[in-house]
Amino acid sequence: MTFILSEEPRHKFRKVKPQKPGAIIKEKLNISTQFKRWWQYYVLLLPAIVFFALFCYGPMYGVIIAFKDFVATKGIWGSRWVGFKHFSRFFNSYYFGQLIRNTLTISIYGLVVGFPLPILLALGLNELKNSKFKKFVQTVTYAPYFISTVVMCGMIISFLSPTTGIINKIIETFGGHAIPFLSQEKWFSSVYVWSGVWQGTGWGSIIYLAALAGVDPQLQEAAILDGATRLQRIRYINIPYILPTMVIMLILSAGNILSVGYEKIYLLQNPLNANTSEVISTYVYKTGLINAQYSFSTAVGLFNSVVNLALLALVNFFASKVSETSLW
Amino acid sequence: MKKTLSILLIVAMLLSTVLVGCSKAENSSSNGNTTSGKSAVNANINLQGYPIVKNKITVKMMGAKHPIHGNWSDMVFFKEMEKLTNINFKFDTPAWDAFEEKKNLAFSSGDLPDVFFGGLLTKQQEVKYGSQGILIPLEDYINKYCPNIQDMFSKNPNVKKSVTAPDGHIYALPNITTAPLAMTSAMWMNKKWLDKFGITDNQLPTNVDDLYKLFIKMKNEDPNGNGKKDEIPYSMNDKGEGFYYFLPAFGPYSRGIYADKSGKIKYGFMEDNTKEFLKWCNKLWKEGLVDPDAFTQQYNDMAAKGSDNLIGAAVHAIPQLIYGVTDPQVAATYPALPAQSSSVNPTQQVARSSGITTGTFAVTNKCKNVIEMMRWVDYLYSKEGSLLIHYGPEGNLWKYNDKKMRVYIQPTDGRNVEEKRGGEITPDCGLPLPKWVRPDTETSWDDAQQQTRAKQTDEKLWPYAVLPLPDIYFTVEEQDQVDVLNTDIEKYISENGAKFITGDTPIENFDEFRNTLKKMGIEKLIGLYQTAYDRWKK
Amino acid sequence: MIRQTRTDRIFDIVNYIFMSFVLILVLYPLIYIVSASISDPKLVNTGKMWLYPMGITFEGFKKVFKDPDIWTGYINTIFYTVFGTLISLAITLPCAYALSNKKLPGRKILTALFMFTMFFGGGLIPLYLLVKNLHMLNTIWAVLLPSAASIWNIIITKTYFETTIPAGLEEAAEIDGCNTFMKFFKIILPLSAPIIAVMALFYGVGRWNSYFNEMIFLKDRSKFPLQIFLREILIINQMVSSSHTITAEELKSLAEQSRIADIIKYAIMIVSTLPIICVYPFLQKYFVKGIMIGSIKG
Repeated sequence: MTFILSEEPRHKFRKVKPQKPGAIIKEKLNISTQFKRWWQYYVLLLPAIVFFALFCYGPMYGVIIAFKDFVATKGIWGSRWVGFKHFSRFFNSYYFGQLIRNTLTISIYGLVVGFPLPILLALGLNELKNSKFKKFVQTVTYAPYFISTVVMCGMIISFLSPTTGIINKIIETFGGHAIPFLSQEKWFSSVYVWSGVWQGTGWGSIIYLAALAGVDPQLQEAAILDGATRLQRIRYINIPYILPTMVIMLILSAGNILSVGYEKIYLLQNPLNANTSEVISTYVYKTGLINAQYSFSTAVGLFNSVVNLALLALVNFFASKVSETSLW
Repeated sequence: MKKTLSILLIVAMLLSTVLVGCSKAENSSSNGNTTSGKSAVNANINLQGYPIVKNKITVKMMGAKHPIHGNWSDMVFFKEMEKLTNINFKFDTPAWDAFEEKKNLAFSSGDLPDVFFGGLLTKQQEVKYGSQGILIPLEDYINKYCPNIQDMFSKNPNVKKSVTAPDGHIYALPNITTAPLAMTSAMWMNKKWLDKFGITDNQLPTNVDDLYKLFIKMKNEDPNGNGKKDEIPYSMNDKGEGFYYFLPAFGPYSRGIYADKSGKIKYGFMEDNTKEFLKWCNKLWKEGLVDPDAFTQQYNDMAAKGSDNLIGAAVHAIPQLIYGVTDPQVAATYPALPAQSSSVNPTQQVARSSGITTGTFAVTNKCKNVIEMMRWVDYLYSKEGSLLIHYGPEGNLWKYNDKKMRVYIQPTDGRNVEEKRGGEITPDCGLPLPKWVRPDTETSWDDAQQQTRAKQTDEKLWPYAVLPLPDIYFTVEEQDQVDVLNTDIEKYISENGAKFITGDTPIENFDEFRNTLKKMGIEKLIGLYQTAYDRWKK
Repeated sequence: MIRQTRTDRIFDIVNYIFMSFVLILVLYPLIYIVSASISDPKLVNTGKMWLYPMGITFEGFKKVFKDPDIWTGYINTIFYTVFGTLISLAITLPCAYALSNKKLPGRKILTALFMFTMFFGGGLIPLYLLVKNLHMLNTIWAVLLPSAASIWNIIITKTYFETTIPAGLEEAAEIDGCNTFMKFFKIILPLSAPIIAVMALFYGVGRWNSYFNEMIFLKDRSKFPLQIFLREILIINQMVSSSHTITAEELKSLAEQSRIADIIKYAIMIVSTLPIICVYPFLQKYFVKGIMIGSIKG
């Protein structure tokens, strides 16, 4: 069985021939030609460049706060330089190990579960023939994303209550004992991750659905004529088509490993599950509550960023070796 | 070509940050100089009597807007004060959620108001910004222009000590209440169940072992009469913090830092008797006498259970909030549990607060009308002023009845009293503001529930009330060390305390727990507090 | 003719069962929210109400619609969302298209510079100072501009352009004499309906839900978006549960407020999210397959 492949996608092109020594003079002459050729692209890029320069690089000097004892009225330049004091406070904290462990556990658990599910959902939705049913399922699964964190956590606490919660009522009808989910350490990461899956899978499938919309139907028909089953078509046409999107999403997610947000965890946390629920962001948030410790929180944020960047670079490197897609 | 382009781009980006950063440098340095906030006595000011100024002045005021507040500029309180003093305000009231951020941004950017009113200033902020001259010292002005505040200081000597920073200056004024019922919390018992058992008000347990027996009774004897064993003898909604209400019964005034009778600073979780307390809590938890949702539920969930007659006892402001009884006469019959004692601590004890909230009013170095504002705030410490800011003028929210006591005028538009109070009368709803609440302000309401609360507190709690720690200040260096130590120590005791209570960690590990605290620097922490406390005592 | 093999039919059945299961799982809590918004809060809190409304009361919705802040918030949010999304698209789409051309000089370094900002930032204080110095404080620009573009979205869009626009198309256009601008506006954009729809959705939803920058940069309540008002009500519940140091009076008032907040929190949720949820079905039609048909011949 052969399948008719689509035309070579844009990102595969011939390698550039090595330059001959006499080519240097050619280069110089070509700067103006280059400019003539590319200036329109730069115009297209201009809004983005201005935006990033102004609103992202402009304030970036604030990173220095991490190395100072920031006092609001002295300003960033007037505050005292303390080098790595805040970093060593963080690394030497009694809880440093726990925070890293919990943050990574929750993050990786969430990634392992939450990465494939939107893809599966998108692939399945794509195959539904009844378009009314398809539209309905799409809209319903994407709705939970909009529930605000505060309301969501209130509902989670309510549903999981050992006395009044519906989940436990179901467990008891099947003859089990009520489980106090939020009072036991071992359940926290599961509660967090699976409620996140419930909220985010529909939304996450959108990008894959959009990508799947680009699959050439002529290709599909040709494959069917060749006798391919549904599963084979998915495996050999759909999946390779959205593979670049998948890889990019994976790389970007790797770059967020340490960035577990604080709000949802903070609302679900209590002293009994704190051992597995305390992550870097909630720890820093609570420190900030005591005494607006900007320097400390900036230092920890900087640490997070460095680790995230390293991980992203790592995953990107592997991606470039294993597939043809990577960020750079 | 590509290389030059790359270099160009990187340089461009770096240039942005340097340009933006350097232009800010001028901004921040202007914060440091103390434009003298001293306003000289001028002809516009009346040094005695009211109004305070002959020609109207406008002052910039910043305060936190609690969710219940309406617009401050529409509030009756400010309008009344303007009629009296001729001082008008321009308000900056960021939402509660964003207030701390906004306050810090105000300090960072130099966009300061003239005064902070309900600015939620922490002691650390007072010391930090006071020492830099951003907040100006107030004691000279108090001595010259504020008779009410002076009166308050002389009648309550502890207050002056509690608002003076280590450098001897007063940078912010407090909210004081001297009414016992505002300084203690009570555990309200379910009257219906007590009636079923035939237990009268005087027969309530005064030690923790008898209390335990009462809880057992509640659990087993079906006092709500529905044939199901669904009673919850002891409930709470504050992530398990409620247990510590009973710690004083075992000796230590607080689970954290406290000063004992001889003035020695101790740490609750390092004391031997705390072990007994944890054992007692564990006993309650294991035997199902405590609400299983104690660590997770919020107030509304607990209130729903209480309305369904499922709760035997809980700590809160008034019984109505727990049991949902709406008739004040009926609510007045719900008794408070007396202060408890235990076998290791035979005297009854219950913790109280100092009644002082610091940081409610401060003046910045931008203010050009310091004398006027000090006279303005001084009025709030008079009896009439405190009443005005707390409940508004007569005729809006309340009126005098024939017994010369106050009664609420119920709003007719479906709101309750508190909504109206915070919505249109005064910002003193949920937000600590400068005032001096005298005991009789609270007791002169003709409301059965309020009267009982006062009586119950006076009899059962106030004689046994102990203050864990007065309001003490740290220097900036001390504060830094305290913060670093406290971050981890607080987390450690909160988590492990909970685990001892539920039995997840066996109580035999208590010594190991204390050793870890020592390693975390608990003794250094105690030392820092001792220094600050001794300084306060002088 | 399309033949249905046996495995195909089994696949279809399994797929439909799977989807229905997903549907029920997701639908139940949504029904719960709708029911809770018109039920007696006490029944909701004790777990007695679990599927259909009980103790039906419309007090929640009445209170919400009576509150003038809610309507102000609605108008503001719609305004910020529509214009903010347009600005975001205007920055993102051209940038992603330009970067998708592998031969562009400086492409790698530019992508790296943009990506760097995803990780490192100066924090709130420098940003606030910048906004202040640009005289944007308390204006709509402070809401629309600082969060206008996200590098995440730019990268996704760039990937889309790289994988779905065939090289042959661009070459054909160039042969026909198109310059870059014409290529972009007349050919690429019309073919990119799915990604434009997705980006409009991503940016739109982000703006609809955002509140933090608004809280910090805006002072006038008349400019506040809906989310700020929503949060004001929702945080009351947190405050009652965790306060010891306030006086009993305050506790009393907070508890009352909490009771009210409880009644309206579900109603507010529905009122504030329904419009944006309804946008999706309209955008769905842009995900139609086969949008590429006929663009390349042979």
